[in-house]
Amino acid sequence: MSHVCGLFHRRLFNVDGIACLPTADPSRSAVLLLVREDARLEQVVRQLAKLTDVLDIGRDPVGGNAFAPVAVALRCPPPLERGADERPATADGDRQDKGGDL
Amino acid sequence: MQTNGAGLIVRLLERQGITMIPGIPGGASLPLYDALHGSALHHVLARHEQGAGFIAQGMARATGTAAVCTGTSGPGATNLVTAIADAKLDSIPLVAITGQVPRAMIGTDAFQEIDTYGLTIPITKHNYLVSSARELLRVVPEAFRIATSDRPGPVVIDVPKDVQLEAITVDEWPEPGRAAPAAPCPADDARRAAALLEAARRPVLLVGAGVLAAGASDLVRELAEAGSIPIAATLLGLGAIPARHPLFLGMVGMHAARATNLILEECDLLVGLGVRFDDRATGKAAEFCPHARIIHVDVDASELGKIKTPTLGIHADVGEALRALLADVTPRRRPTWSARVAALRAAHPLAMPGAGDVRRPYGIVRAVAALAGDDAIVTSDVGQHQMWVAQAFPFTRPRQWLTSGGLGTMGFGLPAAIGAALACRDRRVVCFTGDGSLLMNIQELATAVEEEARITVILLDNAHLGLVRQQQELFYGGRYHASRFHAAPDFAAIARGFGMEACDLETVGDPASALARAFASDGPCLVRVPIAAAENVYPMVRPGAPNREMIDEAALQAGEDGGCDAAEAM
Repeated sequence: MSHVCGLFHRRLFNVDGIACLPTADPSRSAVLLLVREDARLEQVVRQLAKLTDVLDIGRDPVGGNAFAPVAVALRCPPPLERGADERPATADGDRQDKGGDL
Repeated sequence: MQTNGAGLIVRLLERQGITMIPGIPGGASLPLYDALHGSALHHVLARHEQGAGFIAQGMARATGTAAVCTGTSGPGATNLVTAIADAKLDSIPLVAITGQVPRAMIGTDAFQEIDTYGLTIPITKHNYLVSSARELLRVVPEAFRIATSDRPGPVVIDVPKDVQLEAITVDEWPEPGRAAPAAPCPADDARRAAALLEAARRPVLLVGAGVLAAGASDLVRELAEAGSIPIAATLLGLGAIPARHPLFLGMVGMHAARATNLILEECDLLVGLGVRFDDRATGKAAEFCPHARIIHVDVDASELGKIKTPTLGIHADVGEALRALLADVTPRRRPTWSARVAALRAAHPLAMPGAGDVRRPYGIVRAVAALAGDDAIVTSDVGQHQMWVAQAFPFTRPRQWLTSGGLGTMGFGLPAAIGAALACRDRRVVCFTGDGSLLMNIQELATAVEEEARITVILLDNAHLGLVRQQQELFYGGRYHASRFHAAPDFAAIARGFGMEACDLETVGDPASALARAFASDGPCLVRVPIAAAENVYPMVRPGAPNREMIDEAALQAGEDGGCDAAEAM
C-alpha cells in the first residue's frame, strides 16, 4: 500500500479516498482509491500498472458509490454526492503539468 | 547444503554470475561479510557507500548486465540512496543489498536503524524487506529479473541481521533471475509506422538510452540508411550511432549544435526510439518539433504520451519494433531533405573555439579523444565539462559513454570509471571531471589505487561550479554567488598523496606531450587542466525556452537574449 500511496503523492496526483483490505488469499490485498477524473489520470494508472506488487487494476464508473459503506463506517457524510468528477480542487490539486520550468 | 541467510545471498549472487561486489561493511552487514570471506566474489572496498553504488553503476553501464553493491544499515543505506536514485532515472540494472538491524529491534530507533524500505520506495523499480532466510531463495533471483527486464532499474534488498544469521538447509537452488523476453511489436503498429515513414518528407530519428538497453544500435543504423533519415541522440543515446556517420547529427537539446535543433524544428516526422522527452532534450516541450508527427517507441507504456502525445505510440522493445518496421520499409532517397539537412549543418555547425589548445575545453576533449582511441570507455561528471565532452568527443560505439543524465549527479564520474575499468580490464577508462564534481567523491581515488584501476582522470579545473556560474552570468544578471571556490586545492598533489601518478598542465612546459605521457601510463593517473572561468558552454537554450532560441557568443555580442533575467530558471 505504501508503494501505491507514494506513487500518487510523488506525481502530485490527489487521492481523495483510500481503503485497503486483505483478501481470502493472504498474500494479496485489495486497495480502493477515490481519484479525480482529469487528464493526468491515464498517466498515473500507467505508472500504477508498472508497480511489481500491483496485479490488476479495475475502474468503477465516474460517480460510483463504492466508498459509501466506508463513509457510513467512518460516520462522515457520503463523499460521492457531488460526483467524483466535480469535486473542488484543493490547493495543490490542480497544478498545471508539463508547464514548469526547471 | 547447510548455510545461513548471508551464505545464501553470496551463493545466489555467484549463481547470477556476479563476480564483484563494491561496498563498505558495518555492524548490520557483518554476517554477509563473513560469508564473503570464503567466497570467490571480489569485494571492492569503496571509501563511501555512494562511491560503491557508482562503482557498481559503472560496471552495469559498461557491460549492460546487472551489478551489485552493498552497504550496512542506517548511514550505509542513506549514503547509497543517491546512486540508487541515479540508476532509477537512467534505467540502470542495479541490485543494492543493505544490512538492517535485527527484526526484533526494527521500530525501536536502534543504533544505525533507518527505514531503508520506506526511503527507497520512490527511487527503485522494486524493493524488499526480507523476513526470513528462505524468502531469499525467491527474492534474490526475482530482484535480478526485475532489475534487468523491460526498462531496467534498481532494486533494493534490505536484509535484517538475524535473517542473515538464520540457519537454513537448501536442497534445491532456484534458477538465476534473467530478463524477461523482449516485448514484441504489434504487427499493425509496425505497418502504421512504415506508412507514416513513407508519407514523411522530412523525417528524423531520435535515439535514447532505450536503444542501448535493447542492443538495437545496428537496427537504427539500418533503418536510417534505408530511408536516408538523419539521426539525433539524447545525452544518454550518444554512442548508439558513430559520431562520424554521415547521417548522425549529434546531441539534441539545451547544448546541441544549432543545426541539430533547427533540423528538428523543421522535421515533419520524429521517430523517438527509447527516449522519454526529457526537458533538457526538448526545451519547452509544447514547442518541440512543432511541425512533426511523432512515432514514439518505448518498452515502458507510461512514457507514451507522458510529455508529448504521439501520433503513433508503440509499446514494445525498440529492437523488436525496428525489426518489424524494417520488414515493412522500402529503401528510398530523400534528396530534397538531405540537401536541406546538409545546408543547415554547413550554416550552423558546432563552434569549437580553442580546439587546438589542450588548455581549453574543446582542445583537451579532442586531444584526449585522439590519445585514448576508439577502444577507451569515457565517463564524465556533471557540469560544463560533461557538455563539452558530449558535444565534441567522437563516440563510436554503444556503452562507450557513461554519464549521469537524468539525476545529473556530481560525483558520478570517478567511481563509475573505476567500476567500468574493473568490469572491462582490457580497456582504458577516461574520466572527464570538473573540480566541483571531483571533490564530491574524491575519496575514491584511494579505491582506484587499491584496485589498480586503469583510469585516466582528466580534471577540467576552473575553480568554479562552472555551469552555475554560467547561468548566473546569462540569466541572473551576473550576480555571482556561491559559484566560485576561493580556496583552490592542488589536485595533482592530492592525487599523488593518494598514491596516483599526476601531472598539472598549467605548470609543465609542453602540455601536449605531458598529456601524451599520461596516456602511456597503465595505472590510475590524474591530469589537471587549467580552464579559464569565463569559458561557457554554447549554444545554450534557456531552461524552459523552446530549442530554437539558442544563445551563443555571437548572439550575445549582437545584444540578443543576453542579460535577460529568468528567475524561475534552474
